Amino acid sequence: MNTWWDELQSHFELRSKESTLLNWRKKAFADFQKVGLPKQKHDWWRSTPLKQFFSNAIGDAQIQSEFKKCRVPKNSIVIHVQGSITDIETSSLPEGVTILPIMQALEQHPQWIETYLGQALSHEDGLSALNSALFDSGVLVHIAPGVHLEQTIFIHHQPACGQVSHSRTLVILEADASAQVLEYFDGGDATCVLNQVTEIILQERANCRHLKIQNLSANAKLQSMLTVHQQESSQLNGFLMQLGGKMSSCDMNIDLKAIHAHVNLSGLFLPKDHQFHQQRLSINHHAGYCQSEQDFRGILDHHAQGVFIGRVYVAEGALKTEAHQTNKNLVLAKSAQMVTCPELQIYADDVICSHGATVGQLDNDALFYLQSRGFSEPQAKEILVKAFVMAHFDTISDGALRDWCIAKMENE
Amino acid sequence: MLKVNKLHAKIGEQEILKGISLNIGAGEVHAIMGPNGSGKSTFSKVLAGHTDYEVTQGSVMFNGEDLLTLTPSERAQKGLFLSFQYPVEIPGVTNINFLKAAVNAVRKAQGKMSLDAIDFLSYIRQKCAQVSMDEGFLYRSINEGFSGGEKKRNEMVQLLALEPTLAILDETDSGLDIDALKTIAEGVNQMRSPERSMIVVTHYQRLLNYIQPDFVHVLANGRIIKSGDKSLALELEKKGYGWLESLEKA
Amino acid sequence: MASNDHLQSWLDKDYEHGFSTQIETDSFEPGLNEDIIRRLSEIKQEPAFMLEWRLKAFEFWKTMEHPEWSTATFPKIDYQKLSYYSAPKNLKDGPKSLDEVDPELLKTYAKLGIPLREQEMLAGVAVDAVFDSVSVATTFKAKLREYGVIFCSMSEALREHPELVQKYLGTVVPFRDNFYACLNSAVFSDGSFVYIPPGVRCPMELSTYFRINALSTGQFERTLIIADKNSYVSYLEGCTAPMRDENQLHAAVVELVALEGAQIKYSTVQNWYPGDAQGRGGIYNFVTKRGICKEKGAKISWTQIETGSAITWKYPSVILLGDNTVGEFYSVAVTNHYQQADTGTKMIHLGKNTSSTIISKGISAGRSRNVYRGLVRVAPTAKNARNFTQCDSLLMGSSCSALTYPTIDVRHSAAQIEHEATTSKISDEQLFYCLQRGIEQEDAVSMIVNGFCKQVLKELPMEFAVEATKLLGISLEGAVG
Repeated sequence: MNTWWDELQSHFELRSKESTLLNWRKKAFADFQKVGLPKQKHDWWRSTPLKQFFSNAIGDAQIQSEFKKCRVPKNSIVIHVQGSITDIETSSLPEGVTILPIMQALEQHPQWIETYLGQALSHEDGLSALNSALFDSGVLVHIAPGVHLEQTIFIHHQPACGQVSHSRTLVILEADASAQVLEYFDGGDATCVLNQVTEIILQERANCRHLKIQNLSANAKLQSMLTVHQQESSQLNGFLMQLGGKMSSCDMNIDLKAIHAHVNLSGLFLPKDHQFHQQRLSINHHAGYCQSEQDFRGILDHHAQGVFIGRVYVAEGALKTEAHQTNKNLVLAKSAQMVTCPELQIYADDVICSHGATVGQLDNDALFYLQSRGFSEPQAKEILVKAFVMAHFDTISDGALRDWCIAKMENE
Repeated sequence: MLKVNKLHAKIGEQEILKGISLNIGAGEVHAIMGPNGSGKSTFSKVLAGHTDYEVTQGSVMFNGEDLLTLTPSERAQKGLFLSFQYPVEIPGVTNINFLKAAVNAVRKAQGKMSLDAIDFLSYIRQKCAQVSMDEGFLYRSINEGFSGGEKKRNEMVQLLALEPTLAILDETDSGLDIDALKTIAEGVNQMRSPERSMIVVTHYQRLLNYIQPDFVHVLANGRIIKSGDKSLALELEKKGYGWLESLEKA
Repeated sequence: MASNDHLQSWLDKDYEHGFSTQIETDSFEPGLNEDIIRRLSEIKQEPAFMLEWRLKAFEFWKTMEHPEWSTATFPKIDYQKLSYYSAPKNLKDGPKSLDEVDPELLKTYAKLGIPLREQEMLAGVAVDAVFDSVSVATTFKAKLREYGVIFCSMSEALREHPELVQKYLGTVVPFRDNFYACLNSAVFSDGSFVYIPPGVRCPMELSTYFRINALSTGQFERTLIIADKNSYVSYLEGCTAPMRDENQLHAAVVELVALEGAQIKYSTVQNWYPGDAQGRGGIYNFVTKRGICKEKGAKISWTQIETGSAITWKYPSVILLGDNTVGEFYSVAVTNHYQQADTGTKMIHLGKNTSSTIISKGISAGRSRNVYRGLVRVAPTAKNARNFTQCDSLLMGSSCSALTYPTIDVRHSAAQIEHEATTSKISDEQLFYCLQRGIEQEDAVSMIVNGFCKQVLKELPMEFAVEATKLLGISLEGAVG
């Protein structure tokens, strides 16, 4: 049985045969070798059960995975990504909107690739470096200046069986552009590991709504990173929901590079039955007058494990920053385990920053109240849990999209 | 008491006061009215010495002394009081301790003995009663969790406690209902005396029914465009600020 | 920026206690090896078990690596260059009353503002004054004896009550715990020992003063406080140190043991020399402080006001082992110039119905760095654990920083944990409000800072409140009427 390391080397050898991006890939792989696979003593990975996360036997890459389709939100441009295959269902796109498989974009739009690919990504955690070196599927989205895309860009990811896949999505919104992207992960099995990175570049006054719904099968593993560079007065609304998967880590890195940028993030994870869900954030205020709000919630059931790391960094000179973070966790069963680490690194004085975290159970008084009004205990619990979660969905302004997300959650 | 001569002031690069001249005698109550953006609050803050603003021209004499060379705390110790339009909150600092420190600082500057804890408590209780302020507020942090009306009443308690010679009331009436307004006005009227002068800055005429001014000045675009007695305020209410702007253009 | 100037003058206070006492000291030559440790144990006439323990610790220490994880930066310490024993010559046998104390030393204490005579008469506080590495005077032993309270130096405790020391020493902080605790276990020279018998409420606050005097002396104090069933003690620790050019090391260990229903309140007001405005010559302060609420109903509170020391590294912790136990941590940490503070607490919930409260206030100015690290851990056995944490930072000036790294690790569902943190500065509006009311700049800043720290300051015993406020440079405001 091959080890991860051997597999990675041979995959890299394959990639090296490509002509485009050769040097860039080489450097990325070198970065990965320097950092190596995650170690427990590394701050970013200190609470992750590393052995379990990386314990996969790599299977036979020859197995063909079959793509299972799902119900899609109305008015969407649909793209399927599985293994090394990227398939764009929708053929005609509005003017100013370019959506291509990223491997094609490497050839057809080298100027965008050169300017934007990897710009928002540091290779600090190792796995993103690996992704840079090895990605062979994913989507490039480019919205021209001033263009507002009404349709939802629906990217449907399904990990390929029997392998570790690396996929990269690059979304570029030029000045004054706006778009809505929904990345949906489902399927997979015990032999799948997906290492996925999405980079979003928002130029001045661009506006992006990004949703990530992880609904993998109970045995699959996911490491995903969303990294965003925001320029002046740009706006990002991020929504994240983790429902399935055996071990799933959805990380976000937001760099507010210029003044008056605004980011609003809300996240939800619902691990149960020995699942491990992790949400790690790094919000970096490099410039002044920016605002960030983060509201992350978790509901942990039997034998679930959850980790939240919320790092807010305010650079020296980033005056009039406002950053607020909350992390609330509901632990429903004795065997569940939650670790939360909200962090603040503040190097400027004229700022307003706060964070809050709670870990608790359902309010007994509230439970009793509902039961006294005729609800059974399980019903009362359900009502309270729902209440805990519902506020999140209010951040999705698009009604159809919101309903679609709620439906996915309720199925779980 | 106060002689303002061709005062110009700016904030950042923007000039707000464009040559204000005004004379206030002892015992007089002057009202300053004007539309939003005319520079009313700026004028108050410049007199109090707020560092956001820079005086570019002109002079201000307070009881024969050059006011502009004094720091804000020195101006306060000499008897100048500003009641803020939006009083700030200071968590962890109780009202009573703040008031005691302020009162004693002013007394010290004036060569008087500080009040000890017991004397001060009875002193401040009196002042609270004058504006119907519940004593419990003394033990809360400054303005923390106060409603708009409570904040204004807090400003009044401070006014009564510090006994200034020149009191500047910056939009004291904003956000108050009629009853609150009456209570505030009563407190202010109790402070009227031949040795004390007041500048009442307001957008609406209503307050001036309760605090009757001796003089009314209308401020527009950083300048006083008309002065008169209290009837000017009534005329303004009837005709609106637009009337005055047309006057200004003429 | 105008407000920076206002605030800066408030923070530029000269360090008042900069001087040293001209007394001969009988010190060891620099160096650290087994022989030094044997000589140390012999000179103190320690029982055999103590020497054995020291040697075990030393063996283990040699295998340990200097910790690298803190964000603080400092030049590597050469442990062979330090001397591990320093005693005033004429005090080998210890004085029986104040009259026997070297008058020079008494003068030193007077200069530090703790005239023992006055304290004896007015405050009724027993002072175990530690001068360098040997205890100089222990007052009020007689009075405490009436209550059965033992308050003496660690050296004396080892001679008079070895069984008590042996039972508890190293049970809360084993020598394997961390690098500095291990070094301390091997070479500690003295410290305080307190034992409160069952049911006794210690009649006065116990207090200790430290000073580091001789050049290149590492200060390794070891304190052990045992509160037996249903007893109560309030212990104060305050430190001052003279101006020195060479950095001085302070690596103390404090162990608290609270048995059933007992309460220990440990307060520290720390005023180490912080290094000059360029960051040279301050004290390195690495302390391991831990308390264990061993049996049910016990309670331990840590209250600290930290200012000064070039580098502070301390995490007073409480292990909540017994059921219905309570742990509290109240802290104000002020850093200025080039100081680096890395402080925080660990609350380990093991028993049922345990509760902990953490209130941490950090104030940073100049080019300083103020780091809070907290851990709240709820074990699977800790049913109904409760924690409330409030962690606030006040930044004064544009070159300082505040970093907050709390970790909340919960492994039992019936737990209620709440954590809040805020970062802010003193706003121009708040300052102007005070100025306009006639309050001088310095007083205004003091007042606002005091309001910021209020929750912590009110936890201090009265005697210490004065020292604390001197340090924070403000006059304490008590309730009126």
